Amino acid sequence: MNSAPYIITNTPSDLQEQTEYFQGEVQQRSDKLMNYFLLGFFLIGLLLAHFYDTWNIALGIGGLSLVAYYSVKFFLPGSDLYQYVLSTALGIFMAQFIYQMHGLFEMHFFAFVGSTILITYQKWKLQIPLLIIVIAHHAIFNYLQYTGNAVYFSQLDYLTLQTLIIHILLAGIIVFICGLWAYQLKKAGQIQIAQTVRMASLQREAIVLLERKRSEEELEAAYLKAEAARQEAERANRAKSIFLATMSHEIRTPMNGVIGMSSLLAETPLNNQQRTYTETITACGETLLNVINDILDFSKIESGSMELEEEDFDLHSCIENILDLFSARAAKTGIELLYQVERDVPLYIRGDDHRLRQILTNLVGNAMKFTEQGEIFVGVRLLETSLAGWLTLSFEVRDTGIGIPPEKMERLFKAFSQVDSSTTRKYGGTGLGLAISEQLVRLMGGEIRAVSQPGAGSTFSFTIRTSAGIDKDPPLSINGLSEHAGKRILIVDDNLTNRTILKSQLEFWDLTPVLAASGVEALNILATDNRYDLVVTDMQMPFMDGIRLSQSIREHHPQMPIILLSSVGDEYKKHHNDLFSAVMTKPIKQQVMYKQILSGLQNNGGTGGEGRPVQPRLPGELATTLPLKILIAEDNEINQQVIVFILQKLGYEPTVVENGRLALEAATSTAFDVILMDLQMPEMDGLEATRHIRRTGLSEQPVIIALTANTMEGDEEECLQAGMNDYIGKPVKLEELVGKLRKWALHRRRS
Amino acid sequence: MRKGLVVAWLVFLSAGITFIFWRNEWKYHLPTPVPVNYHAVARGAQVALPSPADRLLAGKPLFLHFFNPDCPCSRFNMPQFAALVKQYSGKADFAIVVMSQKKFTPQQLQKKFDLPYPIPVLSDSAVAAACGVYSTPQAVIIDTSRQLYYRGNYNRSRYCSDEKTGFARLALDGLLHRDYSQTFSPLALKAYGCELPTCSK
Repeated sequence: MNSAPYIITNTPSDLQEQTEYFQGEVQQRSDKLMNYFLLGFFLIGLLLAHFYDTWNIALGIGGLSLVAYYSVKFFLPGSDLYQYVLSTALGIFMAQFIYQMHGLFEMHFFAFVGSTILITYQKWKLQIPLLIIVIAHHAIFNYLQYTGNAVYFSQLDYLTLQTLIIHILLAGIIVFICGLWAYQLKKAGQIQIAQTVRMASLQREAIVLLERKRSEEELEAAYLKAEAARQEAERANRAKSIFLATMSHEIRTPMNGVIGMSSLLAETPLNNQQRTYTETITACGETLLNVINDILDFSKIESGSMELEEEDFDLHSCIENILDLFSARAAKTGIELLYQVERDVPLYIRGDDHRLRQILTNLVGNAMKFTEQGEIFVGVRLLETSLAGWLTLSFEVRDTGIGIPPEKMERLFKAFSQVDSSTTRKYGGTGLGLAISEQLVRLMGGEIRAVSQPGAGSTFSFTIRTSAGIDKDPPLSINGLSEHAGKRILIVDDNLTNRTILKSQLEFWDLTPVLAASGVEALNILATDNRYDLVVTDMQMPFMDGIRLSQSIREHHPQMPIILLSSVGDEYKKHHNDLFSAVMTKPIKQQVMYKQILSGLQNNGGTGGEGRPVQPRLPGELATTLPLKILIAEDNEINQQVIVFILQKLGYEPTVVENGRLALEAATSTAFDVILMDLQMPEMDGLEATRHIRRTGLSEQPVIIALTANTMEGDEEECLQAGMNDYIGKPVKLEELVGKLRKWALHRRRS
Repeated sequence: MRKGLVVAWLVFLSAGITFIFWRNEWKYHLPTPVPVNYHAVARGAQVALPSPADRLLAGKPLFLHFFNPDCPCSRFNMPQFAALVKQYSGKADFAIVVMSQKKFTPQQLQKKFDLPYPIPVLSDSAVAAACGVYSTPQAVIIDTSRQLYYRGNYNRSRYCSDEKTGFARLALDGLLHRDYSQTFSPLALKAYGCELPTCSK
């Protein structure tokens, strides 16, 4: 016997499956029983054959009935037809027995026997064939007797129609009752199955619920544990943040003094030695500040509190500014600083300008550190554009430096790790730069990679996910140059990359560039064909530099405009102003170059300057143009002095107080235009003092600018919420302070 | 396809069953076949019973019951013969002619037939020939003048048990009332029953 299939759920299909299984069991059991009953019927037939010598009937009819039943069962095992054949066979056995017993009416009881036997199948329909046989049998023999043909059929002489009807009715009642029992049995079985299935389902549900409850308890315990761990981690993180903020504040405060004072010192008349010392102090101070910034950044990234800004910025200007930072050093070492932004890259992109600068500065700075000769190239190209408007930009910083050994490559982006300790000693650095860059790139939705060949150079490339920004400036019009379209420009540069960049740039402006790799080659070109409208030449070239080349050109082409590409610090132009229409400092800025080429083509031989006026760092006349009454609230004496000195240099006469309470008193008694408010002060801190000042009924509220060494996330927001107008981080940078004063002075003037 | 074949097969079997029933029915409708060398003895003819059967004719009508224990019909009409013996005891003489190889004594048959007294038993097939009998069960009534009064069935039922048509009883009753004008239906005179084991077609 098969074991009952495992009940999983209380579904209709499951119920059906169980019902079918149960009915299969009933059928199997009933079939087995039928083997015995049919054998019994056959043997009864043989027994009855003794009475009236009816062997041929017993063997013939009985045998054929058995053959019918077993053959159908054998050939159609999946069908229940054999059960209906069985019902018919039982009816025929009854007819056979009646015949064998010479119409003995007691033999009719075999119909009832057959009917009751069939109940075992629990199918009321099985009674129908038997009933039909009984009715047909009675009807046929009643007719035969009535017609007088079957003289021997019955011993009774009263087999009338009434008797026939009574017999059939009784047989019908018995068959009906047997069918009813079969139906009831089946129904009861189905109800029992349904209950069993439901019970099993409930049991299963109970197990599941039990298991779920246990899991929930475990989950809750785990959650509580995790929550406790999280709170502990948060506490630790807060402690770490507070420690970092405190440490940052404590280091920045004296650094403010060091950098501020050294900047001021540089403004005083100094001899060369003193100037060198001063510059060293400033440089060291800035380096130390960078180290602190790196550590703070790394800490922010580690704790996941680094958030990127989303604003539109000029990508060209971003790269040019970075290269500007390194241009002086590049000029000293003779390294070519080049960049190229492919044409399909939008001028403005959306993202965090500051952090992108940080990455590029780090990579270019590294390249500068490890490159003694050759070039450093910064390239930007568009990798892909999604339908939703997302762009993937690829940045590349390629140098011709010392390269990185393959076995050290994997350590590149690990924090506090450098190629080796000796390199660290030689080249300096915290070893955090690349780790921070990698994290920032990741935050920008890209990845950073490095390939290098020791002795040949390295290429650091990274991708960022961004979108095109809105161009705030009027686009670089080519209308001015359009009238010069097709003019031939001779480009002379020994550096292939630079030649390529210049060629691509000029072609974009519809000019026709012709390239020469050296002065000699340029002269040869001009000798064979003098139909050139402008020459752009590099200054530093082997054998024949830019000046010698220009002098040679002037001899034959006195009106030929020449633009010299020089490095920062080159003093040539001062002595050879007559040679050049313009002298441009590398790295070449597109807009500057555009103007110079336009000017060169229009003036055709005229000479000019670079165009960027040199502004003194401290505009002494600021107080005259923008008079302001300034209050400084700062508890640290050194910082007081630094800011006072700066403001005095600008022509202001600031008032100084030592804490927030005094600042409040001063603000209420005197109408200050601007208050520079330190945040951390004894008695009353800057934020509270600001709130008090904002609550006073002053007719004209002062502009309050926060001064703080805290640069942790949220400081700026806290300041603005307290009612401050602006924010300056310490150490105070001269340009920043001047910028802010300018901004707020103009703002007050307008309002 | 398979179902169709099975249904055809069932129809065939049903036809077989119907045929068997019909054939039995038909066979039972037929009278007992007349043997090839049958010598008919007409009603009223002188019956020359062989000895010792002829000694049974002694002033009373003689009722001969032709009995074959292997014939179902013979078996089933035994009570009717016994009833006749009981009813007409003293008015007629009775004897049983056993048409079988089996041997019986009068006591054995008295017990078998539940007779009130032992009656003579004959086992000579010549008696049957003398009476023109070729089937069992058959009743033969010979009057006191040794003439054949009745030779025929006990009743019309196949198993010879239908008392309502008691042909033999009516015949004996008619002879005892000296009714020589009595007529019998063909169902009474045409032999229905088992063939004699000693006869052949």
